[in-house]
Amino acid sequence: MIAPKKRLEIRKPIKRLTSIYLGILIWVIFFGTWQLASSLGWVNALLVPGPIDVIEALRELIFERGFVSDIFDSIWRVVISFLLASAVAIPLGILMGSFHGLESFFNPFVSAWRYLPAPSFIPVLLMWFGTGETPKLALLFIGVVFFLITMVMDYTKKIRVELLETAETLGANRNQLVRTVIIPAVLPDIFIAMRQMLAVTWTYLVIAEIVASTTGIGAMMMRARRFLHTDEIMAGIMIIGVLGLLFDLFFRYLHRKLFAYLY
Amino acid sequence: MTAIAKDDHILRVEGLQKIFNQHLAEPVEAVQDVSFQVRSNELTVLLGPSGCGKSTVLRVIAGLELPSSGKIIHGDQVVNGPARSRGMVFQSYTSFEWLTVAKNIEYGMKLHAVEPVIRKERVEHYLELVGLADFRNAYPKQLSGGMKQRVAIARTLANEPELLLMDEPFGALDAETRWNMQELLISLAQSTQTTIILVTHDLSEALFLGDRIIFFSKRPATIISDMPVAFKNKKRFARKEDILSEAKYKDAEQELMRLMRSQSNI
Ligand SMILES: Nc1ncnc2c1ncn2[C@@H]1O[C@H](COP(=O)(O)OP(=O)(O)OP(=O)(O)O)[C@@H](O)[C@H]1O
Ligand SMILES: [Mg+2]
Repeated sequence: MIAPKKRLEIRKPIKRLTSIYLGILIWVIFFGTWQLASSLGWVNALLVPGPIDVIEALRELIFERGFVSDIFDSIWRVVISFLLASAVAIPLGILMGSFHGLESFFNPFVSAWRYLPAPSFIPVLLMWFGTGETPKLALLFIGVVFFLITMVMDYTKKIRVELLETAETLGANRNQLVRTVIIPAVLPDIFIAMRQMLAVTWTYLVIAEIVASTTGIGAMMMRARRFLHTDEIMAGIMIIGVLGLLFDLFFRYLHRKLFAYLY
Repeated sequence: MTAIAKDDHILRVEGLQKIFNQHLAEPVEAVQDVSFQVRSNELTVLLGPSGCGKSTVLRVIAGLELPSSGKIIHGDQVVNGPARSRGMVFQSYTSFEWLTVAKNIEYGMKLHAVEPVIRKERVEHYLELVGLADFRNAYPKQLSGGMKQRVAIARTLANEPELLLMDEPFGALDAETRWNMQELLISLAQSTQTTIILVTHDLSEALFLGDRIIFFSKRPATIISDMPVAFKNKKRFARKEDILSEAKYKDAEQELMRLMRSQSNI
């Protein structure tokens, strides 16, 4: 056997199992350090409870204090507002990416709105819609829809012109071009855009619930703050992280299922 | 020799000029003055130095660009846009990756609501012709470059165009695949009786495929030579090695190379 010469490590592939272990290792270090810091009293245990306390708080919240209904309230808000935003953004983005006239008309408007921070609308949303579900859904919608429109438009514009010209020389009319080439060509990328924007929706959800809600994960965290229950706040953060991860995995799974021809 | 009736011409290019960015600060004259006619069943090769305007001529014929002056007459109609009767195969791969090989070939017929029974029949026919029968349910991602081009050719032919336009269709392929594809194209041209205009800058490809070679000057394109490939005596060779043993082949290639050098920009 030849002993390989020592080479540069840059971009050298590693074993898949090694890569998984490394991914787990950083979490072990993170939780280990955190637990150690609180057990050894390096930090104020009231302000930074250890992970074991947080998980205990989470268990109590879920099994004794009805936290599950808060979780479902939050999921519901994210899903509904995200579906509404997608229902507007996907068709509009595809049309703007396909027709210059529509792009010229909508884009100055959409671009401007993207630069307005959505939370700055909270005061007026509360005045207009009171304290029900509407202002929260509206905030999430505003926060996401303009970004999603732009992303879908950009992806649509990136479809290779040869594909469109091929369809044209095969005799496709404008409708057929949109239906049989543009939409199927851009759909996988739209899924990627949705996956990214879903993460943003979660961010706005927490803002909405902290500022103006009595239910949901964010509201629970604000209640806990009043009673200095840092462990419950952290439990809330943990749940949001886990839910975000689950949604992300779901989208990845769906992408592989729906667009198997890409893999 | 029999006289050729005037209506034998399926395509007429008349005084074609194309200037890009005509109304901007820096207009580019790609094609200056090009006229030629194409007969039914003829395989015409457009040859010329890099950047001379070959693709532009082909794209104007396809209807993908409009002429700045002059006109294209296909059959008895002035070309004013792309149409099913003028199919185009590009150098870059254009398979629809969300469709299987069979569905790709079926695509054009579906646009025109060809009856399903006929569609299926024609898909099978062209799958056989281009040798992809075993790959009918594969997706383009799983195919090699040569196979993708075969899908593109079958998809265009299954749509039954009167004119098949090809812009360096084998330019991205390796040498072996390329001559395989050239031989395939010859056999398709024979069996489907389609009129073909093909752009290339590969001299041996031009000599093997062309019944006739039109040679363009450097940009802006004009025609500096338009001749049948005389030594082939109106025959087409099925195999590439057979043409190499023709006594006049070398002379013809040399002649083209001289033309090419005379128009070189470098
Ligand atoms: N859409 C366009 N806008 C502006 N200029 C263009 C456009 N298309 C082509 N040109 C210019 O016209 C000239 C001819 O281009 P064309 O692609 O027809 O040449 P070609 O002979 O096909 O070249 P190649 O051998 O590289 O394929 C080039 O100078 C090119 O830059
Ligand atoms: Mg070209």
